Amino acid sequence: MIITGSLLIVCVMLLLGVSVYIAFGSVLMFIALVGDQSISGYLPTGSTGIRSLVLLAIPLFMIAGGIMEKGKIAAPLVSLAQMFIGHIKGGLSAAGVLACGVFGSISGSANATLTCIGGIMMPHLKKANYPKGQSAALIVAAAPLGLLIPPSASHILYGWVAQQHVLKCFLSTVIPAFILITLLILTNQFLLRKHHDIILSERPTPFMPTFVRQGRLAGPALMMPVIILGGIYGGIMTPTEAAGIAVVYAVPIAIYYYRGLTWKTMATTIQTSGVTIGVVMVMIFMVLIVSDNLIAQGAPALAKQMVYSVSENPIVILLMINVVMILIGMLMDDISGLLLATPILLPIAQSTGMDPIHFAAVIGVNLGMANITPPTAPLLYLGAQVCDVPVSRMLWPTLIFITFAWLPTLMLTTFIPELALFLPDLLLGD
Amino acid sequence: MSNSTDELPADVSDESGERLIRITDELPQFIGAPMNWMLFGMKAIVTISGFLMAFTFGAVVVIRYGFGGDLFAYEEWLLAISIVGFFAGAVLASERKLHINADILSIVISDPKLIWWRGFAVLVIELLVILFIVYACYISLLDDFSFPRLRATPVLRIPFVSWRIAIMIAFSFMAMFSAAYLYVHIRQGLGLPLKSDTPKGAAQ
Repeated sequence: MIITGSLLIVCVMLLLGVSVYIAFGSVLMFIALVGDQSISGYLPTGSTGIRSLVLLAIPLFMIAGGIMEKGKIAAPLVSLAQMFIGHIKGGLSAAGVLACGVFGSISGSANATLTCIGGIMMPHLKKANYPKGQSAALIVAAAPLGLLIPPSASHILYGWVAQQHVLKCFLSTVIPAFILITLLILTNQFLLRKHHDIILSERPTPFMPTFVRQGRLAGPALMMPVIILGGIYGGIMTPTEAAGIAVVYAVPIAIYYYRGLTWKTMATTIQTSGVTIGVVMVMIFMVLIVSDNLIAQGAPALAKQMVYSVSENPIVILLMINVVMILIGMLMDDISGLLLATPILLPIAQSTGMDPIHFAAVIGVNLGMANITPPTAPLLYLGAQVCDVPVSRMLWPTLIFITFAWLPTLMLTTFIPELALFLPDLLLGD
Repeated sequence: MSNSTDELPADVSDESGERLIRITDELPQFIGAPMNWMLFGMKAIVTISGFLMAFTFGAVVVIRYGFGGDLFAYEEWLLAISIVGFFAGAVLASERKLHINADILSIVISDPKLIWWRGFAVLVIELLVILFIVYACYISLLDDFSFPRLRATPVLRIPFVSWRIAIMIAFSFMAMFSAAYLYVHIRQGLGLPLKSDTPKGAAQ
């Protein structure tokens, strides 16, 4: 009764428009009213949960993302990508997708990726007569690459909740990310076939001097993933220390090299990031308490029982898990969704023989897709603001990108475990 | 999902840094002024804790590889400060109405009366839930203080209650902002003027 009631309350509250953390708070209120657990355990559970060095990587990457966003670090990355493929039809939009991938590997955040790359790419795309709605939808669909290409905040959280190797979780979505990039570009090319009025940029001649100049400009930004990922995978730093180094590295290059920030605006940027961090951490605090209570009530066993009552076929079970995760992702943000879904769905996935690292990839792709799936698609609405295109014009192309790029990536990731496990096994062993 | 500001004047400043009407400006002076001081404190905490988090981890790596040393028990004080910083950020998010919500009904409902009632229901629920959480924190703290020795971190002996009290205070502040928004919402529903509607308020 408590589990059903809790899920019902969360859904009703979220549909009503109550803040996500309040929706979880109302579940706690409900459990306190009908359950037999003491409310004195709420605060220790939540505060002990968020008192984690691993978790500290999330706010640090958010600060780093905020500094890069305001520090104009993304512009040279876009110019570099544009140099190579801007002269081909569809090349400019493909450059946007690639830039999302590169920037995602620096910031680890879909929001920061969308704001930076969308803001820079859209004026170029509009100028070159690319269809506005489709281009904005493409950037929106590519922004969650920030969640798939390491470092990723959601994987840090997953590794922490599921007690898995964070570095393996990071690597699990690299191949799916490349598949997604390819499918997004191909789908976009197909959609562009009837647009004959696109203005193509000329290939810079002579190419090499321009390349060297652009490369020098983009160099410090491109060094960032090298430092972060090299530090982590080289065993020099933990993900949290790497996140701290990312901030320490981003500050001087944003101020003195790219001149996008001053020391004064730096404080404001950190404050703005601090507010976003507060929003996320208070949600994590609440979801941890709710999740703990639901586990105590036997929610994982009940969910497993329900799933197995429908079918015992692993393929059907994995499809059902995906459907549930998509629904969760459509209702709440990726962090809350991950915290709630992992303890309940991971045992079910494992019962079908799925590796927890494989599940990290599935949940990563799933929640990335949920971020752009209507009706509650946070990135879609943010994209409309950033790209200055009405949501209605973006809706149809977004659905096409979901159907022909995201869904196939999700299915491939779910049913071909090697896509998720090959790199972790190769680089970090069993 | 959105971080909506709805119809209320919640922004602190615009892009140019020019000061706009805030929710605290809509309240009677004797309530609004202390809330503004509190907000100033929260901003300072958020900024300082953000800098500290980043530079401490930078220092940890530099000290380890540059000097072959270790920053002694840094995680104990840093985690305590970070938690306080997180919740100070959450208070600022409450003041600016930036907490994430799934804004589905606003797409469906177009009747202004219904929109008002829905907003009213949301704000009442938010206030009640936050007050309940404050109460739960209070009960938990009473429980903590009922033991003869407070639980503390192993090395620096920082008591766990220090950040737990900070969390309770933060939720109390969040409740205050929920109440403030509810007050303004009711005034709007009753057709009473807001300070942002007056020429002086608009000029600000």
